[in-house]
Amino acid sequence: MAATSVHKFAQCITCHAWSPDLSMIVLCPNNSEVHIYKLSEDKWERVHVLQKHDQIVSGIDWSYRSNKIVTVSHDRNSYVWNQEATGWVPTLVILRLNRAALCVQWSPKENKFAVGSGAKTVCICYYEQENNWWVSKLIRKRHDSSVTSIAWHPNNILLATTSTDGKCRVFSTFIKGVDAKDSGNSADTRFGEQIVQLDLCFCWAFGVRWSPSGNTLAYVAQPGALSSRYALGRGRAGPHGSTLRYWVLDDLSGHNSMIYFVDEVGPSAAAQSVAIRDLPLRDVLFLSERMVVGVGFDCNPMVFVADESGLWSFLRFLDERKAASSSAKYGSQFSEAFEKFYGQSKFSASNNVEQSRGAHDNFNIVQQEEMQIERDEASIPVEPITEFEPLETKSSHEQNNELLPLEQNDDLLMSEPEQNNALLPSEPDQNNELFPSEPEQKKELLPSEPELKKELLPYELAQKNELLPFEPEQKKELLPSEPEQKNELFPSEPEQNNELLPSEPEQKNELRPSESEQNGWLPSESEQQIGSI
Amino acid sequence: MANSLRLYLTCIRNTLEAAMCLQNFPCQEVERHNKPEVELKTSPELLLNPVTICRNEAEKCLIETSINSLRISLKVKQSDELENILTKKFLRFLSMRAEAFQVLRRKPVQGYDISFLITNYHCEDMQKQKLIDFIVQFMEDIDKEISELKLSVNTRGRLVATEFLKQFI
Repeated sequence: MAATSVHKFAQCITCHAWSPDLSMIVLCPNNSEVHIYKLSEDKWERVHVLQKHDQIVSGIDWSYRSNKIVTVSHDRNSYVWNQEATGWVPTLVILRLNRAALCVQWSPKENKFAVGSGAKTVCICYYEQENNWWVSKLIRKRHDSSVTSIAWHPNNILLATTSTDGKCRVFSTFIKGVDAKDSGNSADTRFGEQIVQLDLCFCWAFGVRWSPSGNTLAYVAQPGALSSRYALGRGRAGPHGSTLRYWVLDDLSGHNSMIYFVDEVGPSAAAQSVAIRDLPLRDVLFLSERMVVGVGFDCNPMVFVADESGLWSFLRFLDERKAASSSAKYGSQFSEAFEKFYGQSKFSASNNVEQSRGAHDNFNIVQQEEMQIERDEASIPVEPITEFEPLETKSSHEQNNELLPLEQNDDLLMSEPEQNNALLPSEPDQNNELFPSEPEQKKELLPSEPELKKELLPYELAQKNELLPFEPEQKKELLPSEPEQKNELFPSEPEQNNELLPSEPEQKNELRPSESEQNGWLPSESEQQIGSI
Repeated sequence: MANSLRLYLTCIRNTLEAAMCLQNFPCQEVERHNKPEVELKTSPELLLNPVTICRNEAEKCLIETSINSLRISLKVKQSDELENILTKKFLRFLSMRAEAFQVLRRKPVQGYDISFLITNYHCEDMQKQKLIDFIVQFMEDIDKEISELKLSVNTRGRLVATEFLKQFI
């Protein structure tokens, strides 16, 4: 479809920006330098090297009309580069930051730019004619963690930010003397006023973008072990009166990216979500009002589209899909691994969001390794569902019980109970605070337990002679992982407590239950047998 | 390779693949620093849930992840005292040469025999897949190595004993 060509500029590129006419590209090759390349006869040539920073340059933006480059770096500084006859001339920006700057973007009118930082603040910088330098105003004490990404609304006033505390916020950046009064009804908001706080994902948020019209907001989130369960952020009415929709791409548990739409009509907002099984995404880009590209650790851009009714769905991968390790067990284990990392709290969190937000449309696109590119078509019209976990567990059950060849049986045994165990113990603690999704889960999981036992027992008996050492091992594998999970998930709520203690107690907990349980389950001879074999 | 070992290693491999999504992330606490958050543990929001994968009580693997670093700790099988001593000595020998390994942590996490610390810089310099291969290969080889060492110690012991007892014949 698209003609692509690959040019290797550096081994690692931290950030880049295109020149207004797309003939040049400015990038940072993972060091303190900024290189400008120019395309001439199908070859990229380095035309300038900008050296001013002394740590990694983390953000670059090239303004389209005024032809200025702004760079920010981990050394807490920012420069605005002007092209003059002699080359690119830097102007220092006084950011007043005491931590690394992480991202930068010119405002649509190019009279301001915003810098997100590791100091949990956002700087809005503007040019002061009388002093002949760029000064910054800070939005302080609004973020609980580093600001990973920022995006300007087309109206030049609103600024969306994402941060590693998992929230996406929208601020007003109205600066007297810089912005004219007449820019919509948002002009009455003061500088730094938080207009909306979106708390949808309980995880690290990245890559926020507005759609060209400014009606839709997209951001990517990677799950993190956020312990707290805050109430949902409630924003004010859409700042320009009309509908303000938020589109949230939330990598709920790694293999499980989610997309929410928040329709912000008055005080009520609604989110829509789409789930994808893949490595976390890091950034998004609106190609049009109805098409978005997301990029992430899969190194394979994903295209999402919205249909007539505004429902978003995953369309396809841009690149050829690399032949991943092919067995089905890979898929199931892989997603399990993700589940473990990102824990159950997030699942319930997502349900929470969906229910209270009244969002109804959910897609779960189950990735299966057998389907390659063609699978995309197949996977789009997945039936909408309201709950997430049930589907997930179900799908893995199915996979395990039906799809796998006999030879992989052991694997099922291992992977299935693991999942169950992982989910079961967490229920009590979730039950108290969390929501109606639990009972359903139970129904799903409980019956499957006896099943499993049945499965295990005959297997053991039949194959005692050869497989005994093997079977118990399997069980051991499962069992210890369960209490451990318990311990880890519980404390993740009052994380602070654990933090205070050294890490040993955690490990002790982990050992003890596993010991006792093992003794309960297994005859010790089997262990000796293992040893002798 | 025993089938169960293969499963164990596959599980670890998949978990590592899921975990190794690291990015550059400057320290939020200290100015102009860039530290592995998994070691620092100052910002709980930057850490993910640790995962333990157990084959049995004696063999397990702890994987802790954060936004810019990943720590994987292994407990190697020690079925008797001799293996215990051999493992300890062998892994200590390796840990003392941690610089040469880059991803090796100089001190294992408490309760484990050996730890690796992988940061975003390692992922930038090396291929993610190769890093995972290295860890898995290491786990595969360490068991072999220990049992070989044990065999040779036993053989030598037997030899020495035979030689010694010959004089009484």
